[in-house]
Amino acid sequence: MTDEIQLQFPILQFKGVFKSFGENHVIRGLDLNVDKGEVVVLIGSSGAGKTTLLRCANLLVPIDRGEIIYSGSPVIHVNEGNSNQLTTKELNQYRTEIGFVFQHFNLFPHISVRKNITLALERIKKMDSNAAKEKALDLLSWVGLKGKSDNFPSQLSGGQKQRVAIVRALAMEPTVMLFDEPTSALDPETVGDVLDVMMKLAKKGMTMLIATHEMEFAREVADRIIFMDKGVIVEQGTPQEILNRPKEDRTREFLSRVLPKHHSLGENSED
Amino acid sequence: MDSFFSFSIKYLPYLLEGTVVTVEVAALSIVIGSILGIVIGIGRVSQIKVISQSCRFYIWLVRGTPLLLQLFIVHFALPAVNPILTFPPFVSAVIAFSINSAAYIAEIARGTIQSIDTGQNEAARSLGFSRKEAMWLIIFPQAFRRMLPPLGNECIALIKESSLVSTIALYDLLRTGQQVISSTYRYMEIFTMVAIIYLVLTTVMSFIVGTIERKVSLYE
Ligand SMILES: Nc1ncnc2c1ncn2[C@@H]1O[C@H](COP(=O)(O)OP(=O)(O)O)[C@@H](O)[C@H]1O
Ligand SMILES: [Mg+2]
Repeated sequence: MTDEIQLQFPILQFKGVFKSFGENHVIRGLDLNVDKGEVVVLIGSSGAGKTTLLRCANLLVPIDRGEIIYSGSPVIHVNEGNSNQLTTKELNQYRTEIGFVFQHFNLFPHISVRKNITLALERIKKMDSNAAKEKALDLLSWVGLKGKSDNFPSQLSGGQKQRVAIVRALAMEPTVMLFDEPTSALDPETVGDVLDVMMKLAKKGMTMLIATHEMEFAREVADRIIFMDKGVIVEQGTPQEILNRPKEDRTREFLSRVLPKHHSLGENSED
Repeated sequence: MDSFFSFSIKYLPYLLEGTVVTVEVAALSIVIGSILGIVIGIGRVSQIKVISQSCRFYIWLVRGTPLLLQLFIVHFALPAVNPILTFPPFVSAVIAFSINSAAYIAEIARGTIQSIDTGQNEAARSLGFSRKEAMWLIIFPQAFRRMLPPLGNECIALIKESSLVSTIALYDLLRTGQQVISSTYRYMEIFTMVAIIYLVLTTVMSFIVGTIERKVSLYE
């Protein structure tokens, strides 16, 4: 095998994935490969199925049909009347390798910032409590929250909470990080700090799948942008391809609503 | 009238003995009832049908029948079933009140567990915690804080309801009062004193509940 092929190794694959909630068909036959080290950004209107797709990836919601493959081996495989998925134990292990950052942070409010980070390290990774503490402090200072380790989540701003949530996921040393609109619940002035951390993470080579409405951030961070609508991938490509020269009407229509005027289509031809 | 004060002083020690029994029954029952109730409340939200249905049945049965009847069943009916199940009044009282308060506390536990944002469970599961770990490390500790104020109210209710034990010849506060009356015939004075002591107990308890409520809302 050449290095080239190694680099293109898909770490996470969706094959023909379907998911509905009752009559609401939310994901409709979706195929997606995420390569190791790749940063993939999901865009699309609210209700397109971005959150559901991310939640399917670590089986927070079960899928109705299709296959999800992690690092070459199936996580879940459902076809007509047949369903195979990891055992409970394997699934818990798999989830430690997939970090998830939620729109509403979901920090544990009853324990300190440090404990939020060390709890899983100690309980799941069986890390010694001093080592776990040291790791938490290192990571907190990496995201600019060195002094906050003894605070409770309720004492932090939204942007600080989200950075703690990123650290909590990151501490498990996941292979892939999933982000579900990590900045859309934040006050505008704290969005930048969170995006900076994500940018740093991307530069370190983390594999990331990010749902976001921050188009400028997407342009900067993404290797690939995927436009989703009504549970399917409408169009995907490099940031230039999708944001500057979208081929599909639906993509154009969406972008004309979310992109600021001076970036409107056709005017920008920097590539 | 001249004598209410001196009369009170004279009989207060008797009444305080009864008060100790009342407090003991209420305290033991709330502790045992809480442990039992929390287990049943968590069982009530179990994914396993047999467990959740059994817990549901327990709650339905206990909340749908009078406490006094439950007390009579424990104290008078069980010995008839098997003499081994003959208990002194104090033990019968604690058993009946524990069983009874467990059903109410189970509903409190279920309600507070379900009031915890589902994102908490999802965050725990996404880190790799099992269902059980997510419940015991993340959900329950938060639910427990929210349970404290209603548990305090349950305790206040228990202090008052425990007066039913006078019917099985347990010398609690009320029964002791009646006993004093039987030798003094001073109904009004004694019942007034009994009422004042109940009020002191429930007021102290409300004060504790209030303090806990403030602490809980501070952290949330
Ligand atoms: N747990 C759920 N139960 C029922 N419907 C859901 C659930 N989660 C999402 N949906 C529905 O799925 C659709 C897609 O939602 P979502 O995946 O959140 O889209 P997006 O993140 O792109 O806004 C919406 O119509 C939403 O109402
Ligand atoms: Mg969403």
